[in-house]
Amino acid sequence: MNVAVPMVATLIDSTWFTIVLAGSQLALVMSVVVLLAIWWVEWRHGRVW
Amino acid sequence: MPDSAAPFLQPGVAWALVVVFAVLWIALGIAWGRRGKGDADDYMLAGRNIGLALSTATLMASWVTGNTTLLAPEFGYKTGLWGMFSYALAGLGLILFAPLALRIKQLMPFGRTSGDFIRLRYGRPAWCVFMVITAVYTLGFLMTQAMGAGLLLQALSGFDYHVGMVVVLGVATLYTLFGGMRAVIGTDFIQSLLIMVLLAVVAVLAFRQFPMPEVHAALSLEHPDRLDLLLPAGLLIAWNSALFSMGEVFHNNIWWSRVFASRRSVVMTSFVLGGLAWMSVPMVTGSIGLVALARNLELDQINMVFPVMAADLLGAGGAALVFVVVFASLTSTLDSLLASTADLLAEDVYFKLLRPQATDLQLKQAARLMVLGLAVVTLALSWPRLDSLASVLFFTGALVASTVWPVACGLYWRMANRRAAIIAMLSGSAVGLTAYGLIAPYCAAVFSAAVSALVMVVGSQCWPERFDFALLKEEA
Repeated sequence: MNVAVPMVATLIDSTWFTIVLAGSQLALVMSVVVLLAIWWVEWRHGRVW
Repeated sequence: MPDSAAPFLQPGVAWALVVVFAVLWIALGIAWGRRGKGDADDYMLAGRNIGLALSTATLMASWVTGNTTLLAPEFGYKTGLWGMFSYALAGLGLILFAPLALRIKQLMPFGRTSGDFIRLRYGRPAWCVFMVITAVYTLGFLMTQAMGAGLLLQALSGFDYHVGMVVVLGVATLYTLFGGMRAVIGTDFIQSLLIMVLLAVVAVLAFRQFPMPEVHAALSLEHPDRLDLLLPAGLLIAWNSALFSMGEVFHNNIWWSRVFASRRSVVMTSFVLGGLAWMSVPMVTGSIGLVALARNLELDQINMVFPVMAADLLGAGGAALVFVVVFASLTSTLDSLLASTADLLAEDVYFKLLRPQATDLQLKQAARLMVLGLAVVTLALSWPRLDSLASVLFFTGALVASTVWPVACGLYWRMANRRAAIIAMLSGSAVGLTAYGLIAPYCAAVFSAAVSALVMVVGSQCWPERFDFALLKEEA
């Protein structure tokens, strides 16, 4: 099935599509790592609570 | 692929997961609740000294609702890239609130609630309007989470709607009741890590089976509109999403209570980091919707795209992962809503309005009773099953967006006028609701915020106030 694209459209290409999706996965993983690192530093200095 | 009418997870496995996590949350909640001095400030604001890790995690976990894990993939499936972007823009609410959070901490070192600020800054009449708006929004939010719990657990594991709702609400209520804000923030830390790790696992495994270039090729061929960066509806939804989230964060006591609970040195950073971390969640879950579309997956219920994909790609293990993510998302949002709304009612209504002579212990007991009362009210209101939850949320968008400018102006602008604030909230809500009915639900927040801004600026310029910010330093 082919779908008509509007006259004014900017389709993202495969490279940028991969960058956006892989980037968001990397951001999610980095969020976990950064959160754990901050907790570790605060825990060592007794500053968690 | 499993039949979408049948549960994705065997009820026995689902019950085992519920028992394990319920026992864990309640035990940890009670243990953390025993820390500190045990006074009202400790119960309501976890001792006002939370560090960066817990502060960031609690913001992120509270903002990840059942919708984030199930509606974002639906947005990705239906609207494509802009669906994901627009949902992710809701993280702007947290990021833009960051400087305001620091300002609140500076101006109100002894403050407890958002209601405290409105009452001290604009007076009791404005406080009444604000409390009505926050009550409608909070009840709507509580209902959507409770109903979402019933519907999701039913779809995922075959639980009866009422059983699923009672289980999730019951667990969140129990540890909030006994442990207060410490229990909420502590469990939020583990829940946020659990959500992010499990989502990353599902996404990585999904894209290993169906690589990104293949997804792009399939979408380019059959659904090129989903890859269009100039999609008009997507741009409008994105604007609405950003303004709606600003309204939610700027006014609601969930976020104000985190400001008061956190150390002053970490408060601004935690809102920025929490917002950024949160934005990656709908982007990742939304991308799962794109994979489903590229694979031409048959869906009876479009909001079940995430569990269908997880079960399709990863079998029973995938369904179990989704179940844990949804359970953690729902409990982490419900506990925050229960705790912060109970604080608002105990502080603003019971203590400041009805019994100013109440002791610290009585205030703490009042907060506990409010947690229990809110849970019972939520259960009663959510008992009849409603199927359109999204419309309830968009409806409240018109109300909360009207509070953005009165809050922001009130924090920074000495001239911000109290009558202008009242009229801004009322007129913004009215115009937003009219746009909701006459144009489209996703226009409500945009119109509401625009009118509210205009009224606030013009009213304050014409009738300027000379507010003394020192008046906000009211002793708790």
